[in-house]
Amino acid sequence: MPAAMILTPFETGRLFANSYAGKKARLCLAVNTGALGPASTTAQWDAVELAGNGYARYEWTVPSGSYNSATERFEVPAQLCEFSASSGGAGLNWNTAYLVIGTIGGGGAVTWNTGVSFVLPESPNIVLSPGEPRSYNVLLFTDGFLVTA
Amino acid sequence: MPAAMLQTPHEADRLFAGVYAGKKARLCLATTTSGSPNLSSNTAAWDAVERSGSGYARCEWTIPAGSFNTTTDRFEAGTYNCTFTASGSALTWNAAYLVIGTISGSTVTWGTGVSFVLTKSPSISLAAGLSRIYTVQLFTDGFTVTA
Repeated sequence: MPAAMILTPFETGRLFANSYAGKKARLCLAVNTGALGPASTTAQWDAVELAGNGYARYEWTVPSGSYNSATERFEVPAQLCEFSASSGGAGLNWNTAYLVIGTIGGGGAVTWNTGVSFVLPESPNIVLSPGEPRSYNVLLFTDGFLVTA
Repeated sequence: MPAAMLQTPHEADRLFAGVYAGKKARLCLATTTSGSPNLSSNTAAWDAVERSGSGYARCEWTIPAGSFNTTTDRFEAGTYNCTFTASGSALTWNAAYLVIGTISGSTVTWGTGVSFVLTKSPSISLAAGLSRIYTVQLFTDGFTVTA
């Protein structure tokens, strides 16, 4: 039985700084007919992303974060991502939320990663009536890297 | 109760590539006293209590690119065996710590903080002529987002 070395606060900070801090994140909603999975590319997920009826991707820049000694992880405050079906539309209907990380370049141009970072399947589908909002509270953190010795 | 989003293989790959692949690692042995240094101590504090003599030498290697393992559902490098051998006299320690460094040309810049720590109680004591192997495997699978 291998022993797990303990991840240090320094390492959680190094990982977060390298992977998330200062990068762009976008949370998107999609309808997956079952063809897509965690290994699918961003282009494939974007092809089934919702459109119309008030839908808009939720984008934000991930802050630098800090170590939380209570949770023993490096984290940023939760980001409230709000989606709303337009009043005059047909409502929104989805069964997957996916999150993509991107790098901010010169002039603010964002280069999104070719693979999505996280996927959240919803079952049954979430259905919003016209004018109805729905929010996801997204908390990014680093605490899980391990090394066995 | 928040729901945890599933981390994708892409993300495990991206994280591993960014923080481990192609970087230098060193596994060191140390003797701590009354819990000091600890997880929050910096590399200098750990190096100050690193073992010396009795045949001790740090174990250093360059971390390979790794690959996604569909069985373990994580992005991982192959295991690396670090062998420590006592010579002349017994080699004793109660902690192992791992530091990651960045390679630039022939220069390695080690992290100012240690990345992982493994404590042992009671201490391990190797008689002269004996060896102890730590098999180290670095992997990424634990980043999580809740939504």
